[in-house]
Amino acid sequence: MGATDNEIIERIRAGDSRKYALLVNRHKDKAFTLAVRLVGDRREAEEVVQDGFMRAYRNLEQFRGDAKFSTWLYRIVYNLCMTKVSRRRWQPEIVDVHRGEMHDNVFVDEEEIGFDERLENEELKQIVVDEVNLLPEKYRTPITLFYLQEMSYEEITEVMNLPLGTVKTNLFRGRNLLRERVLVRLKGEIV
Amino acid sequence: MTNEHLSNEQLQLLVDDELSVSEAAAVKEHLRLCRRCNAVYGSLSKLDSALLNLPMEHLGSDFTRNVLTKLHIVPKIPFLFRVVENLAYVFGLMMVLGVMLAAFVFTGVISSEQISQTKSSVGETSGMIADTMNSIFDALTVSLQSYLPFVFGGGSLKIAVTGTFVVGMLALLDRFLKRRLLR
Repeated sequence: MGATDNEIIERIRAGDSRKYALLVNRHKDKAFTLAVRLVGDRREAEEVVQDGFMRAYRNLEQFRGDAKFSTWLYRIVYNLCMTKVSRRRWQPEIVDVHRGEMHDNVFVDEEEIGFDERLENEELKQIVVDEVNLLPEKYRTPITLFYLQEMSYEEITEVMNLPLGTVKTNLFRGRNLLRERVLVRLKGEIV
Repeated sequence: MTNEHLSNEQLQLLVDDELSVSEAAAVKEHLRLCRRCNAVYGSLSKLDSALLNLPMEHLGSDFTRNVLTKLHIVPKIPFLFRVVENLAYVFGLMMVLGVMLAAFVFTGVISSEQISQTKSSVGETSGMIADTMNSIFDALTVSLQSYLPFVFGGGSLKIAVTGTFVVGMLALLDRFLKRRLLR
């Protein structure tokens, strides 16, 4: 097992700046995945992540170590993504009225559709990926952080700078909306 | 509890393992008796595992090097590698000088005698500086005679080809090591 992030940061602060390569290698793919989900373009996402790592390095003295380095880094990347998205006025966060927001206890006949059996299929995994990318940002980000980055609710609140209750609600609603959309697509394919 | 369906939130909390032991037991008891809630729970569980398997995006191997370069972080190159790198420059310089001298001798621009005359005239000009230059010139001449005998009348093109090959290999090794160290 290699050195922890905090141990590496201590060595960088002590003057061994080359150790930063270890942190970049360790976190680049997850940061990139988050950025791709948020900005929707691989080239732009790579630019954002590169910028994020450079800012993180230049502000390393401000990193207090009471949170994880990854959480701090993702927050930087998240803010850069939000800035980029808002600048280009990328697709507005309008939920398709025909697809609808999912409300608690919306009844979908899951017994007929057989959701759980069909999800074994690779095609259905692709449907889930597609539908995650189509979710509104307020749902897409917590779902990505929760599942891909395996973050706790508390860490997500730090990245998104939102209250814990809002994060929990958005995560719950996002997954319900996702489940509903997957079911609708399954139903369409059955018909 | 079996008369009313469970809320999706309750089922999601069960999937997330966020219910207390007693709450989880009650929900599981309901699921045992209710087909509809059991189906919803099944779909939430499957969705959960599908989300855990979302594909990760990957950056190329050059990414880290680009970040370090932009931050002006120079990789640490071990002493041995630096020696190899400098040897490549020395060999390269000697090859260039050798080729130039060979060309001058071959075309008759200068002769071996002129080289000796230059050496002696430099030696005559003045004291300590000239002596130093003289000894440097001696060392260079000996080196050239050793590595490039054809310049002084007894060599072979094989030496030049071998030298070029060595320089090329050293340069390639240098490049390879730098790339590995920067990863």
